[in-house]
Amino acid sequence: MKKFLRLSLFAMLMLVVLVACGNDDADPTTDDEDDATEVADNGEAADFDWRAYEGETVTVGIWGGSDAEVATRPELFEAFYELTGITVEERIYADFLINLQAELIGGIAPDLFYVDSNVFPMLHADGVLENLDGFIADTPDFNQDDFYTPLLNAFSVDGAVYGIPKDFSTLGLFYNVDLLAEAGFTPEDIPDTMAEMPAFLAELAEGLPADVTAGVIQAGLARHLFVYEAAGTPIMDADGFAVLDQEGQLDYMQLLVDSYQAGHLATPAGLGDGWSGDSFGLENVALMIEGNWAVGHLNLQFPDVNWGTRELPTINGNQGSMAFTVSWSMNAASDNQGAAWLFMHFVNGVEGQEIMATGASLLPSRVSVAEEMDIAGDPILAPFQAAAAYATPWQSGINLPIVYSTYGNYFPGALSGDLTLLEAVQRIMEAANNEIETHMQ
Amino acid sequence: MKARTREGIQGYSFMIPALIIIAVFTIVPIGYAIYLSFTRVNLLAGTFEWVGFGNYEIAFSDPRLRIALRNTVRYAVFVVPAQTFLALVMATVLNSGVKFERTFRTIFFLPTLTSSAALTMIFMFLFAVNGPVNGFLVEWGLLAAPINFVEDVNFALNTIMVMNVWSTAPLFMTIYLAGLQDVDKTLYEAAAIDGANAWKKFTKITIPNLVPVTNYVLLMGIIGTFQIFDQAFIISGGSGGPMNATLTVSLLIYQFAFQVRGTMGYASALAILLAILIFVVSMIAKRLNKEESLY
Repeated sequence: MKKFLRLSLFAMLMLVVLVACGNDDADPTTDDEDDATEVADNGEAADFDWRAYEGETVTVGIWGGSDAEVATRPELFEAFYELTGITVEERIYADFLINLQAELIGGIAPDLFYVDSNVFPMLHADGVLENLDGFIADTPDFNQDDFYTPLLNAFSVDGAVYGIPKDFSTLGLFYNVDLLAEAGFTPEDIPDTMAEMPAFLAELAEGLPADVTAGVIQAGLARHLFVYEAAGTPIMDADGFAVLDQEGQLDYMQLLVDSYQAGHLATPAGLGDGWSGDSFGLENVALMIEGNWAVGHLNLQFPDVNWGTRELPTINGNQGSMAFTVSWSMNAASDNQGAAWLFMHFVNGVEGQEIMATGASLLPSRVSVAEEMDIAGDPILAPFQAAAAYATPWQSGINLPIVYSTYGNYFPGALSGDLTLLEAVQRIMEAANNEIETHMQ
Repeated sequence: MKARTREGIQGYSFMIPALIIIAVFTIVPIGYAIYLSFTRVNLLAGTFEWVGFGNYEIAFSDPRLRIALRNTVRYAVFVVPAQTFLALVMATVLNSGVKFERTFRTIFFLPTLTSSAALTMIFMFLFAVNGPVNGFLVEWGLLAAPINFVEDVNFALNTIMVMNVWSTAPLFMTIYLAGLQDVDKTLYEAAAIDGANAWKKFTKITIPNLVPVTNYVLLMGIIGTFQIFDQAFIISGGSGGPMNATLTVSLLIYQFAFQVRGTMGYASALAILLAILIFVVSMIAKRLNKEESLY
């Protein structure tokens, strides 16, 4: 009898604890400035102490990434441990943003985590990211100016830094040398301007075997944003509403739609492949527009395919591409910020970036590391590195996720011909802006 | 009296582990969702604003909810009868004493054991423009040109429907099989003496005797189809496209809960509405099938 009572008491206690845990998140009082001053006290500017937090543990929340990344990461953490004596505990999320948000709400989020540039405005607005200016100021050899400016800007608000870009990717044009030759072309024949592309694709399609499509594209706003903005009109207006139907925004998108409808371009799903990298590797297509993350995949999975890369053709005489970048950011509610900053300083420092860039062929976000590794001299990666100077970051305010999802919903209608391109973007604007108006005010 | 109290305490102590789990993972979340549905809330930033029935008002004039409902109902109207009928037929055939009954049962059951995410990927491959299904149809002259089943507005939802029928029918088949074991053999013998043929036996004995099982199968089917999410999510990449063709109510709830910032309250309201809808439809289905009239 007593046993039962004790058991039930214990159970009740558990319940109370669980409920108490759940309540933590309702209290969002995290103050950036307080935390920054706190850190200023324990970090000494003059000589930086790497061993200040020896024996502690920092937790990092990340997604798995490519096989090469997974294989290189332990090396990075090991090097960090040897320098600082701090153990790194990694939490890999399958559904990153949802898992991370759930943990942030529950008050059990890791000290540090990845933040993709497109969700940065949202997480910043919710106040979960720590202002890093204090830490940077106390770390003289951090050298903030060494980062590519557009990448650092993607994680800054009014000059305050809330994330350090760990690396970046841009879009480039991949071509299959053998398939081009089969159709009677050399890589030099690929036009330099987007305006000439439809004609080239048509000629290419004619020369290729019947079961090979000229090119493969991913249809999504993340890939098209720079095309809509090529004429200078941003896709979001000052009030956060989508703008996609203005003068000059659709000219080049129309070329893409026309080529698709002529059968010269296909989507990976339409070809029965999981993503473009597979379509290209299986030689179902001769050309592909993809990010540099496809490089490692092709080398690993399809070593016999003979291919090369180049920068994307120009639009209106201007070079353009997308830049995808991810930061390491600090949890504003972390009670382990000193050690967390040491980790940030190390992985985003010269040594840490070198480890990841060498092992996982990621493009370093530090100019000095890129120069030292002579990425500009690597014929495959050079076009992606060059795009860092002009690429449009994948970011456009807090309402971008709504427009992105709506775009994915209606744009296929333009590709299939059920809607004209103008009708499709008008529907996207109507649906997205209606939602923004109703729920965002 | 004292003994009764002690017995009561004992009973509750036995139940406490289960009660705690139900409370923490079912009752509290449901209560919390109901509360959230009356608020405009950003859980991450921690802002709450009481809006009364505001979210429900938005829902009733939300064009996307209407589309999602239409898709979901269309889905359920096709899938539930199809999978129930198919399951019943398969179970009856397997129960009739065909050779290799166990082998067939295992083979038929395989799709149910496979995760729906993997199945969706396989179907996307099978139904791709260059995939085997199109290849077969074009080869045999049934189609002039391949159809983009996955990305075409008119086919995307149908592709998921076919897949769902195929993958869930075997589960219900096993339930029917269990039900068939309980049907009194003497009924069939008596019918045979009276000169009833196989069809008569099936419609007059098998089906009426399986009404309680059918009720269960229908209920599970309705609940499952109204909550359809994963296939629609994978096939459209979470957008519900092409052009809302695969937008289901659950997918819409997911979008508002996790993709749009600060609409957890609205998502909760939609979830409550969906629960009410499933409840009502299930009750109607049960009433129409008249379980009680048999006994």
